Amino acid sequence: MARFDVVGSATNTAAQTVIEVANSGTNHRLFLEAITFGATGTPDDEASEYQVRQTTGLNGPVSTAVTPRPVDALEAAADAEAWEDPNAEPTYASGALAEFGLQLRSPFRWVALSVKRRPQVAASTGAGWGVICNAVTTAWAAHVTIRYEE
Amino acid sequence: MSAYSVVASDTNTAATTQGYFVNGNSTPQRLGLFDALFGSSGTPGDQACEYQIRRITAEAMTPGGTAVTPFALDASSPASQANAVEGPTSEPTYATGAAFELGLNQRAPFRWVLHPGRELRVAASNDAGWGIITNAVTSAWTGHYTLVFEE
Repeated sequence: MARFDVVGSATNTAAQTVIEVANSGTNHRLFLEAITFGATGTPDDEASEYQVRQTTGLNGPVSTAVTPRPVDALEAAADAEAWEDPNAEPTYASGALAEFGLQLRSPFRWVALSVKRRPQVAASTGAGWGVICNAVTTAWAAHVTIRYEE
Repeated sequence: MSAYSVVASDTNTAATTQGYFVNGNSTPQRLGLFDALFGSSGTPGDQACEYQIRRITAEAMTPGGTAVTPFALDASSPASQANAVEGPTSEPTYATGAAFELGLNQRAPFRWVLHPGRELRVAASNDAGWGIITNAVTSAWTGHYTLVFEE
């Protein structure tokens, strides 16, 4: 098993996914370890509601692919696929894993509490996670990093 | 044991519960709360709120609000037996006292976590659980919450 970082950015438009990572054929049980939220652009009094949701299919986005980067440089390449600002929304399982109300001025990092309490998905194609913006006062350039293990 | 998360959002009006989870009536468990997230999505302002996490002893007969299905952290876990509600319109009954109290500004998201083995536990009885309640607020805003528990 190896850990990978997926780094992405997108304008956090309501009802659109900012970043996603999922199994793409060579499937593993994926374990979510951390998510970091931030913003660039001029700081202002704006706020957004993000959700972390489980994907069941990525629905073939064609932009923009992100290569998961191994935390350990000696690791092999990831088998999962990842996308930032995907031009096709993934299919999500019902419900949400976590919900964050965050402000433009405040970076935030969420970390799984322990190895046993990491969210995990089945080893099936399309299974993974997406960070979706549910609502936003005025959109900004959001930056999100997902760390996971496969 | 399996772990589950409950997400909720509600206007944080004083003396109202934002979200909660409780044992269902069939196979109650010793529910253990170990993680709570607080945040806001409204236009930021210089406002502040007093939240408490309190133990629930009874759910209202008709809680109102929106039912929330607890989301399994492990996709292969069975469904939770617990019931969860966001923005209930009828308050649950709380035990005396609070387990946790937080004075939080609207501009500041906050995460509260407990070490494994130190979870907030309830008895394995019907309707026992945990809720986030707003005790006081300068001017209410739209709050977002995530509660993570094991059963």
